Amino acid sequence: MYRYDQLDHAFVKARAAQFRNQVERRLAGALSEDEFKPLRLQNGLYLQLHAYMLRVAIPYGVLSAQQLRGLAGIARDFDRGFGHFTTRQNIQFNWIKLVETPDILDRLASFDMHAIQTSGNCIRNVTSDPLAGAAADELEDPRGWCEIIRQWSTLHPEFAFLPRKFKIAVSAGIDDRAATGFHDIGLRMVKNKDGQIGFRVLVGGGQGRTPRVAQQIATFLPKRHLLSYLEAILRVYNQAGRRDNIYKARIKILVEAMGIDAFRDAVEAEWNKIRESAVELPDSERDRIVGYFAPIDLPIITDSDYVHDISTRRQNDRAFDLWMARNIHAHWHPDYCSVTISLKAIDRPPGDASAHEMEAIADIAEAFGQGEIRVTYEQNLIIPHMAKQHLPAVFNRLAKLGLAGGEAGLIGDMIACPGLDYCNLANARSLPLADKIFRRFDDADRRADIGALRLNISGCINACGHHHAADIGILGVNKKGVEHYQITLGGQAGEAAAVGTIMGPSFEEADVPAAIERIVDTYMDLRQDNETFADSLTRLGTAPFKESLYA
Amino acid sequence: MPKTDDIILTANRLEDGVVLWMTGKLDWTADRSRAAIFDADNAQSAHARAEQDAAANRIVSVYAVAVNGKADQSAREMIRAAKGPSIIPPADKPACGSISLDRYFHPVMRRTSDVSLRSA
Amino acid sequence: MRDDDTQRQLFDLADGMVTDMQDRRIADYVFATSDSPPADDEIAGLNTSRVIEISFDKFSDGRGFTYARRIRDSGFSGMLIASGHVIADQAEYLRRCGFSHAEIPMAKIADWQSALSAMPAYFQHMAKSPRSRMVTSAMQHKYDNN
Repeated sequence: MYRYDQLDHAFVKARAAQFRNQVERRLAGALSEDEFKPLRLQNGLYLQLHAYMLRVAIPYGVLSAQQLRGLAGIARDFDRGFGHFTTRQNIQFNWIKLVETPDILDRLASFDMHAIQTSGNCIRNVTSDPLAGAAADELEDPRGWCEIIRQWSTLHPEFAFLPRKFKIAVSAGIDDRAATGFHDIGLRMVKNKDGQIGFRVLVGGGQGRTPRVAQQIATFLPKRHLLSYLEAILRVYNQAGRRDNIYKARIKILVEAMGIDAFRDAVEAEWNKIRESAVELPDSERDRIVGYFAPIDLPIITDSDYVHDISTRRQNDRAFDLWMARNIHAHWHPDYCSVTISLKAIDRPPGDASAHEMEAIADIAEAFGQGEIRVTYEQNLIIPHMAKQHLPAVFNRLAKLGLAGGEAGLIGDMIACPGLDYCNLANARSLPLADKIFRRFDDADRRADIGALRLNISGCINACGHHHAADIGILGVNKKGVEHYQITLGGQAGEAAAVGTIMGPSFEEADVPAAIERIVDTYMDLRQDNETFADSLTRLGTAPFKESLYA
Repeated sequence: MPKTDDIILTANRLEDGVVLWMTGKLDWTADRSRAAIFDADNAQSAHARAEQDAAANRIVSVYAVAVNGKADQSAREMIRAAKGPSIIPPADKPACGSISLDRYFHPVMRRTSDVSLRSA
Repeated sequence: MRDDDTQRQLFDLADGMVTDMQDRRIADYVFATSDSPPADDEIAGLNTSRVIEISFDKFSDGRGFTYARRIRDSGFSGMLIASGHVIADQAEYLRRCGFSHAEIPMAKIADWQSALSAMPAYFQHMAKSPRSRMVTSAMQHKYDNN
């Protein structure tokens, strides 16, 4: 992973000192709240329902074990002993005091972390495939490019006050595990017919009030032009994006208003002025940064008894078998894998982990992995580069922690925003509903039988729970002061990104779990062969599901 | 019977984000039960005092909640009054060992957690 | 809240010095962030030795930064002044985008001066930005045109 050098260290320390000064000026009244708000947002600090919330950046979802322990320490010393991992691979702390935030930023800087630009109308955390560098299907490791984009976008002076937030994601796998189709800019690494690797560039995707799948603006962008092309897109957006209405200020609105062809023309016109200029990344700098992500050296595994051991245990231990079926991901090295640690369970807000759990996971990553942890879009954690021979021992450790009972990609693996329990913007709670739904599908065998099914819950139209991109999406609304929930079907986040469709009138919270069950039962009744829920929905259309919902 | 234009004033403390309500003495309290109801005659001085306190960098995000059984007993205001989420996050549970499957919510919410938060 | 004109000074973003407002030349061209973006030929037609002012109607309206870069990229070498509502914490953003000066309230001079030295270096390669990280990188690169 990227290693900070002296300049990087000095940078985050100075940034923390700068924020300390800004807080002092705010408390003394030298900065008004209007002036201070963008400044604190650009250090990830929100004012939420009960307290301030701090969103710490986890660049493209990569953490060292030391950093994860550092975050545990912050949870313990400055918060209430837990943190929440988000759909943008960051971590949030919910009980922060403004006056303590400078100390928190100092502490973060001591282990090479920060909260720079995790909020505000600027370029946010660049996200990527949580299996990057370990995936079996990737063209090359996208993280070097993520780091290049991160540095280019950090304190970029021209783009610190955009019309609205700006989110970039990079994917290099055949499967898009970074939801690039729902980002302001999505970059998919591709190979052209000459065998060169470059970027397919998508623009104008997003969730929120007006969900949109990103459209293609460039078929093949050579690597050397990455930064100049991004500058051109950002410049067109900075000048032409709407600033009169925050609900119409994202780039997706601009792309739709202009049409993708006119938008492309505007970007190319701008790009022609700046390509081959100082904006381009020098080869030496590119090599320096990409060099940090050379393929990892993995110890050779000589003993292959583990294959038989695992196979035997799978036959005798149902819990282990279910865990192996869903939480183990293919690695480019045949003796290795990546392991999902599901942060989804009864009585656990999706994506939450306690300080103790974070430390235990850091220990496991060091003992059995390569000391690295990844944060996933689905609000889980992954330990990459794990020798398969360790899987039984890792399962035992996780089971003792109560972290072995959830399966990636099944109905229990819900994405949920914090909702009205924490968030100032929310209309309804999401966490109690997630818990109720998990309880209804509490049987692991049943979950396995249902198969791959993405269920996402958002507490308001801002859609931070990505309900638009789910097989089953749930949107909390406020109906005359009462929490109600709308159901959508047919969303997808990957290669074939799609926005779900609303089924009909909303439900009261108490009726939602049964409604979800009716949808699932309809699928189980009608599915053919080994169809997934998504396949059945495509084949049958929404009619039978709608009918059972409102029967 | 409160009149439809009666209000409660609420805000967050600037330095730590703690939720506050304005009392009858035009001071701020973190205790929801001590929130004063201001009628049309008193609302203006309450608002003026709130603006003063915001300008004095004590509070932020002031807003008025109508005392009408809906707004003041909305899910949002009840959660704010309870000072915490209606579901217990992982830190409050035992660090190791089996996790009880008995459902429980934050004590203040326990009575109402299974009921839709309708107005009275 | 804006101080009235008699209490504003012209702040030099390169060295933090201030000059009185009455000493400064009236701008030859004024662009407001709330206007639509200037066209390329309008920028190309600017006389390179004049004084240009870009007025921010709100400090959060970031269009002014793009106008400044476009004006500098076209070869303009005169005074480029940020006016209107800009705050000290934007000092380095303004400087790095090519502004030479900002009109600021007298009461904020100390804030603006300390803002100029808040950060030790930056990542992006910008024109006239010797502290850029990519410039201090060990190996020579061929795009350094300053």
